Amino acid sequence: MGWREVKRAVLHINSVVLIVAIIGLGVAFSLLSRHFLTLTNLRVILETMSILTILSLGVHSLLVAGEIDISFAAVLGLSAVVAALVSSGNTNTFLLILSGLAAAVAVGLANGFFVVNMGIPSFLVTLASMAGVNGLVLLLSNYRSVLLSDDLFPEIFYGRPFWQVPTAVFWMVGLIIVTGIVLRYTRFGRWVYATGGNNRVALLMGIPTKRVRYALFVASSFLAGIAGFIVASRSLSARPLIGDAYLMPAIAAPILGGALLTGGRGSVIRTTLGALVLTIITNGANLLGLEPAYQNIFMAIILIGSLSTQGGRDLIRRLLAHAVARRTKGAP
Amino acid sequence: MQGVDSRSGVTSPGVRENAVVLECRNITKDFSRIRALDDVSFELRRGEILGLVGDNGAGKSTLVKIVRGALAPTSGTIYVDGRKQRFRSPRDAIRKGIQCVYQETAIVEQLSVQENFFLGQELIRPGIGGALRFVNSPMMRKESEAYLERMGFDLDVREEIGNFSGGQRQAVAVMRALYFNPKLLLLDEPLTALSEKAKQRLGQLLVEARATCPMILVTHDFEGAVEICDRLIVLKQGKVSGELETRETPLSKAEMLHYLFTHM
Repeated sequence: MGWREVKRAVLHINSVVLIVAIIGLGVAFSLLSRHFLTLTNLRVILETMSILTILSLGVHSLLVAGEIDISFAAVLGLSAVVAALVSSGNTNTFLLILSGLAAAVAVGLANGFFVVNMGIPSFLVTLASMAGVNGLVLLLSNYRSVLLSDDLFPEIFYGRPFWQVPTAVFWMVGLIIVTGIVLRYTRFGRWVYATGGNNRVALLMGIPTKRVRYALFVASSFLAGIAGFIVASRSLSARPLIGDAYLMPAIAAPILGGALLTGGRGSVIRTTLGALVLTIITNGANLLGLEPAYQNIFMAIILIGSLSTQGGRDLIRRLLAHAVARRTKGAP
Repeated sequence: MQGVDSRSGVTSPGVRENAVVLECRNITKDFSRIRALDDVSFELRRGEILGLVGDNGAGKSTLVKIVRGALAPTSGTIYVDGRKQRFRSPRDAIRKGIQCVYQETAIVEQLSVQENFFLGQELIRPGIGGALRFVNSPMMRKESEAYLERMGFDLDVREEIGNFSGGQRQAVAVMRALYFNPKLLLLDEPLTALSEKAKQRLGQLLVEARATCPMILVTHDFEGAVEICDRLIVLKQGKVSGELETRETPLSKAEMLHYLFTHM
């Protein structure tokens, strides 16, 4: 094995750690609960994972570009409530989807405006918009759950056309593929990584970084809107503030997958693996009858642990990479 | 052949000689009450490296920013190949054939050499992939590898560029700019942060490349400028305070340096 191969293996250290964690947790929960390794439970894991993963994809894309969006949890509730409210008028299903997504995208545009045009840090902007949207959702829903009165809508987002697997899982797979392809193989994807890696340089090289960030804020809200439809379809109603439960894990998943808060790094596959790890933990804890309080503590330990070891992993990667670079010719 | 302003039909006197690639005429730039550039005029001819020298605050960087489209002049006109140009953005300037290399290497450390080589100017796949703006990674790898090798740099273009030395990174930045066959290349203090060895290697690279691409080198390193440039313009407090031919001159290097120091 040459130096380059060694370095490439180290580069994938994040993926290896995640796969080991998934196997380890799987084995541990199988030993602790006989219900864990059943077909029904694996289906439950996939279902639960779908909403979290869709939200994580939006967070992931923004993290790669050096930004963050924490308003997605509120946007999830907004799209669900708007769609449910529109459904009470016996309108076309298409109109339900359109109105819910329009509301979500409007929040994304507002976030983009304040971050990109006004230059306010994205954390503060999306913190404020989360509070504002949550308030709006409470007003719109009158502090109550809103019934979803449409037959086709839940079929689209949570129907079970094949092997009893809900469409939410197919939505998740489709969105993972689209996001992965866009970020990895398109010019826009390169621009996202360049914007997050070094915004100033990206600008110097003529990359329209403002448009890139705008597009990502809109995409993040769009994905939260889809997640909201899935949540509403699952319970056939839209409960205000339902998105709050996803806030922490949807940010934790990309970070667990190696995305940096400083931007420029991250992989869709690893973010998906991160979401799977978190879902397995929640699922296993539920099967063992652990209180939600313990789940939160466990999740916090994992997140802090991941962030703490990120520096060490990066150091190993860099040391090996420098050793490889020294062995190449042509150094002026 | 006379250059003609495509919009107004005005002839630029600077292009009466075929060799003029860039002409900046009466460029003035004000920042509120401060005049950063005051009626600066110069021209860049084919096959030459023109040095812009001066002390800090002389207006060198402002001038470069105007030529590369990052700033609009308060007044004055830019002609490229005899045509009046008004750059709306750096991207617009790149599109019109003006490439730039900066002091702090304009690379993204997290991206590979090949990704940096084509940063902002990615090669797009043909066919349906192209319509969806899919990048042509195999072609980008092949092209960047072959070009760097031809220029004497054997680098693994798939490596993250952050793993290479400052000299190697700057070499990639210079060669990236040259690869796109620009009409002219702006070099904004490209050698400042480099070691002596790297400076010499890159200086040599620039001298070799000037036949195919005229360049403007902005620097406050007078010695380096005298060695690399064919002609020097001295800026002082936003004005041109001197001009010096370095190739066909009876002056010794010491005399040229003395001239530059007395005019800055």
